[in-house]
Amino acid sequence: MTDDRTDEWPDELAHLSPQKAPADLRPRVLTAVSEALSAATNTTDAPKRRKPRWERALELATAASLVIGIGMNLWQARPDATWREQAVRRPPEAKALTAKQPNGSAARAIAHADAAKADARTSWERYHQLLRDLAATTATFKL
Amino acid sequence: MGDLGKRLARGEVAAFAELYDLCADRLHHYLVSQLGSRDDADEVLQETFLRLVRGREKLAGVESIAGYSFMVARNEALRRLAARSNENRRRAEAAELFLEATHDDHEVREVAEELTMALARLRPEQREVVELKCYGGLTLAEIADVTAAPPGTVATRYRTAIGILRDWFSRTCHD
Repeated sequence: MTDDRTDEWPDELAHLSPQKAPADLRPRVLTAVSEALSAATNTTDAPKRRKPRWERALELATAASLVIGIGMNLWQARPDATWREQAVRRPPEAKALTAKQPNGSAARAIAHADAAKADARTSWERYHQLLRDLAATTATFKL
Repeated sequence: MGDLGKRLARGEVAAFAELYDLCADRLHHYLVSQLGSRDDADEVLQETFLRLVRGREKLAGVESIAGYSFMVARNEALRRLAARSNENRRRAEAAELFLEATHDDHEVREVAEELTMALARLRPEQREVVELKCYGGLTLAEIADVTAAPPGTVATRYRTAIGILRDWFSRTCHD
């Protein structure tokens, strides 16, 4: 960088006097500065607004209902929900039946179990078909 | 200067009055040269001080308050110029820049007018450096901070501008 000598400035121009700011500008600027400073001070000093009791109660009630809603959602989606068991009735296991039933009734029990299994399979297929129909359409169920 | 910065940061009105007395004339001259209007310079100078008030916390750590004030003024001037970009930019007249432009002596008046014309021939960035150096009283390092330009570039702009002004005056003197 060059040095900061001002003697590089042409001599003819050195004696020219720059215009100054107008005299009436000083009070205008300083008044505006003073007002801005006092406004800033008042804003800083103003006490923080305390929320009214009803507003806090409303906030609390909203938070509580949110927690309850989430809790209920989790409860109904728990893995051992009985409604799911009721919706899909599983047939009794054939092996278990043969082990427990006496010889004469074993064949009947097995046949009964097979029939129940076939019936359950049909129920599963109906259930899956229902889900596919539901996914394929936007129409709501009408009972 | 460090003490003034701390007083400004605390929001003392007297400190802002001191800052005004320290650099308002120089800032105003710079703003006239950039905006081409004394009325606009008045408004932008006021806005500059209000900006300084709003950001006064920073002033405690500023090395050169004058340089920082020029930087704020420059930003305000650029904002003003951008707002009126569709209009023709007006150049400052001699009477708006130099006291001698209204002098009774014709020769004195002529020098002021010649310099105004010579300054108008410079590119804006050269004119700005000359203005900040010769009338703003800033060092080249401070000008580099104010204009966000590399110091070497600022020095080159200044040297080039002075060269152009010298040529201009040597030609007009010979004519």
